[in-house]
Amino acid sequence: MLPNQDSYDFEMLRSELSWIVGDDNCRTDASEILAHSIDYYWVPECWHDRGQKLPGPDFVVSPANAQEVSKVLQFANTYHLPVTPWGGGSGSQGGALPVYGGIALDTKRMNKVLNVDPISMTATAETGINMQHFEWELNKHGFSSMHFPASIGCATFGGFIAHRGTGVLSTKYGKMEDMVMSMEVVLPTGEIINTLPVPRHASGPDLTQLFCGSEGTLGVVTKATIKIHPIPEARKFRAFLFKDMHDAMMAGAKLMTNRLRPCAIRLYDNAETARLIKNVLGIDRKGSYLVFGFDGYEKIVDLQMEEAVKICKETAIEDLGAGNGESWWKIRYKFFYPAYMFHMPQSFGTLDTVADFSHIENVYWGMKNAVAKNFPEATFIGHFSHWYDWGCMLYARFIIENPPKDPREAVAQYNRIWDVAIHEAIQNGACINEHHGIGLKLGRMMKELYGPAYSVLEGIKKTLDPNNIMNPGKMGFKGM
Amino acid sequence: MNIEKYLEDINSCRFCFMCRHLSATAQATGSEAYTPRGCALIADSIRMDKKALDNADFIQTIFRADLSGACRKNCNGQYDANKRLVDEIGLKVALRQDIVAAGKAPAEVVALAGKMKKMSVKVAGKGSVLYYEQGCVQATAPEVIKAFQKAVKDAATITGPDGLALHVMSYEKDALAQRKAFVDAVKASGAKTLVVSTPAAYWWLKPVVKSAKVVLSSEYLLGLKPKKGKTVKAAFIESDFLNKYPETRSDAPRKLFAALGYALEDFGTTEEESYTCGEGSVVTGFLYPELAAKMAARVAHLAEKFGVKTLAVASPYTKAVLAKALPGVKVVTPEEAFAR
Repeated sequence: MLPNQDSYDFEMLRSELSWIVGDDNCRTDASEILAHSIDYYWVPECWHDRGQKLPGPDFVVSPANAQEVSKVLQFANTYHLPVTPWGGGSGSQGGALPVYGGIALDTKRMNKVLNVDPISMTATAETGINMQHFEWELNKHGFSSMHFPASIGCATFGGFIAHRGTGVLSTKYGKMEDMVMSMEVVLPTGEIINTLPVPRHASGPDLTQLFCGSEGTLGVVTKATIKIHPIPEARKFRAFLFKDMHDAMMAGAKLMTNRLRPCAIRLYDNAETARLIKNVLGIDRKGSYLVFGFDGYEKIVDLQMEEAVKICKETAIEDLGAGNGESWWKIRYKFFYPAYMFHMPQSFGTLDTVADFSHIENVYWGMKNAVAKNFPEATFIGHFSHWYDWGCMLYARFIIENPPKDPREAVAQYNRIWDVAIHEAIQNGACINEHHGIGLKLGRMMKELYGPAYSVLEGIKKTLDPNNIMNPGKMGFKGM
Repeated sequence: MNIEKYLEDINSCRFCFMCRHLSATAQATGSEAYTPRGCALIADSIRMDKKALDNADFIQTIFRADLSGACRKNCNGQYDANKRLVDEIGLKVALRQDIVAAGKAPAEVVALAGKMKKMSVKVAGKGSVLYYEQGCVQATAPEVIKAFQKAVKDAATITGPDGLALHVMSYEKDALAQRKAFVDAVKASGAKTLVVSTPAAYWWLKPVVKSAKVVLSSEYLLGLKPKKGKTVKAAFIESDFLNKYPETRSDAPRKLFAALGYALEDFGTTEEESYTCGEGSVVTGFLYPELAAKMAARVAHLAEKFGVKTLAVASPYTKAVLAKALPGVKVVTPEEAFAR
């Protein structure tokens, strides 16, 4: 427990931190504390909405480089202060919430693109850079990261690494862990290390992958190199309507198992087609909406599209055409803007999960039925995005229009839904999460997901972070 | 409270991150609090507990946050015509009004507002063209006024406050009274055309001056049939008021530069970004020069990175801030380009 801001020992800590990062970059003002105490996780949003006091950081510290990060972590070890890295703060799992106070380590000052290598087609940047800014700078050089998540304007490059983020074109270009070549990491004890320069090697286990998805619990990634791509000559989309999700799923899976290379596939179940596709795209149909696209050389795009269309026409009830596919691509971020997004007092969550094609439909029905049975007041909708050679991700959502007014009851109900739905997903062969991460929200389920293997993760955490200063209480690791 | 009128905007912005990459003050400072999300959280906290109006940190944030319109433009660009538009600027101004009404305005705001309130409007000369010799331009970029007057020698002049500075500081009653006095003076002058150099004044005065046509100086100079000079490559920084405030969209400065032979490339990447260094907030350069300097430093970093030698800017405000921060870069307004 830190002393209050008026005490001399608080000022001693503050001044020591400001020697490291400069006075302007060690903030303790109420505005900054408030802004760093709520991320995109529903629980703190609800807590604020219901007028409850939120736990926040004592200091918001913005280092300029790995050396300053190192000094901050050494400082935190000396005083046993928790350090919670904060990039864009737009994570939905509470991963960036400084629930034990201490230092919110805001990475946004580390925002430079350091190198664009047109020969190897790689780019190196500091991890606090806003991903949209990174993309824009790559575009100026004639390249693209091909990482287009809805949160591209909100989140930082480092945030995507920390949570194994994914974008709309992941089916062809991969998730963030597939994009990253190497990285610089400041370990919890302050040592600055670099992982091996390329991701394909036989020189022992891959440390780069250890830090991908570590959510700031194992150190702070300060710099990383990613693959980049030329701007494709053509990118084309097509949409189909299927009688139900099963038929659409079979068609989507066939596209992948026939080893076509779509850049994106998205399948909306009947409920989401009726709700979101109608509201956002204006397509008012009964059934499941499937959209996919190809990019690259136009001739190859056209050839793949022809094959994909053949597959879909076998079972689709309507060919919605290229126009209804292109418009989905154009407005792909619109779903997340205020007028279309869910709002308080609604209770809502994205129960995202991933499984292979043999299991994914069972996962969907298992979760849907479990939510329906236990929470009749909840609506369950979902779409399948991020398709791979072997399976795909289920982006399931629940919405409760009128959750309890009492914040404690509302949070308890929210947690129960997660427990029931995620337990069902795990039982049916899925992982807890595909790209949002674990954070505070799902930590309690990590042992069930990993089984005895979780002790390996705990051992790594203990070795790298002996004083447990890095993002305590997240990913199921112990709190302070 | 005024912010009660903006409840939907509070609800839209308080948990939303979608425009973060465009928030001008937040980009320059790395602060979370200056984003529309940060400001809406503050507004919401005050709405729920009026005691939060005593929080000096909250008040500082709200007066420092930019009014560029970049975030509003991005957000509203996503919506169909039938959806309600989000007005994060209206929310900030409303909250400033509540702060002023509660007597909690920061000392620097009180001091500047006090000074502004004592000023009055004067007209000199007679003629059908009246040029607004704005005090803030005279104080920070007098070369812009000189350049216009070199090009248009016979224009009468009007000086004194138009009320906009008081409006953004949220002394609304005084702001409207000053604007009325200004409008009356224009009418009494008998002028048929009022020429303004700042896009801010254009936005503020155009809807209310009925006795004369309000035009931007670049629009007026375009009418004088400028001669094309030697080609000058320049990066162009558009005014917030001319591309992010929907009421006064104009490409007159851009057209004038082009007519004079400038080969313009937009500074930045999309027209949603704001690089005006606080132009939308009108008085940021006076109230918080260190904040304007941080915004200018961001422009300087990008200018250096992309080898910019000449910056063409639509606003004298932006010129004044950037000329100080970019000593190696030529910063030119439409008036100066014309005069050359």
